[in-house]
Amino acid sequence: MNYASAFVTTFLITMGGNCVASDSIIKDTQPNYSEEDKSTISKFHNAYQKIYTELYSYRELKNNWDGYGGVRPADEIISTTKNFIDILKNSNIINPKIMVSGAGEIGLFWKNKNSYIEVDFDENEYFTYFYKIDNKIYGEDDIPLNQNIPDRLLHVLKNLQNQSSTKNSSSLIDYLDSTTSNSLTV
Amino acid sequence: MSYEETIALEQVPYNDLSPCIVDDEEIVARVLFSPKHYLDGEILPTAFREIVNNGGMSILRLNYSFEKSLNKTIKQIEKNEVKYCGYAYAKVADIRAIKINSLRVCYVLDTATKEKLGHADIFYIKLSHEECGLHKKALQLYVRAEIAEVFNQLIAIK
Repeated sequence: MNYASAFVTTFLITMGGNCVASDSIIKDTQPNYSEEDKSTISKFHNAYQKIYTELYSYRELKNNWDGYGGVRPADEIISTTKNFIDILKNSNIINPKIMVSGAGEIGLFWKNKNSYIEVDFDENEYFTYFYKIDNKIYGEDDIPLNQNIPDRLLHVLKNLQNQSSTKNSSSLIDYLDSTTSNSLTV
Repeated sequence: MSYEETIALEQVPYNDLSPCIVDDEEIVARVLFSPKHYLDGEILPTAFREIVNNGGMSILRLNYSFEKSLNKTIKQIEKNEVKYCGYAYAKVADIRAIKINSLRVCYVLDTATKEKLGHADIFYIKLSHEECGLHKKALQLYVRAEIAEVFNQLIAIK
């Protein structure tokens, strides 16, 4: 089972308690889970759990925690980040890594050989993101957080996820070439 | 100050204490004091957030009284109950090679002090959206991510 189908399965399990249609699908498919499937689902949940744990650890940071006058992130920033992580998880997006800066910002990032995508939280209910994929750069400042990931960001994340299983970025490059007339090349 | 004038600052000694301007072939180090700034052996971009400060990001030049300057830095910071974690280092040419839309995003000056002759700073160049295609915050994320990439090439956590 590839990532995508594993994540769909995860989504159905997550929604199972509230969704009759999903229940029936689960009954039909659950007995077919292989050990590999179960392991993939478990890894997905564990990876997100680690991110939440790390996020909440930022509440404990003391003043000057980084030696350069660093401050802890405000509760609102932690909360905004948590809400965004929830959206990622519920959208079955491969888990990011999480980081904190001395300015009290929280960042999420995904990285592989040719791609880097970062989402940064420095204001309540807003985020900024940028990506660099095969030397094409694009970013947007201060996007209001709602229940949807912006289409463009979602697209690059889904493609990064696909790359993780296929190691093939040609569809993403095609997409970027066709849609990013205002993106830059280094 | 124009972009060209900013870059030209690298060609003139910053002050009388400076041993010399910073050469492309030099190695410079960024001292780290938090394990939150590295993960799985890599330095995270957030370790370099000071680069977007107006005052620049402090680094130490390996060729100029490095051990003395490093010890001095550790002593100063550890006074505040923060533990030294190590340092990441990079070649100056790689820092200067970071570009967007063919424009450099930072410059390196020999900001020597009496106590640290090998002190230097990396300053961020505030490019406009028209020049670089990114607005302020996305550009800052780009700069620190690229800096982290350069410093990640050689890491020494003691």
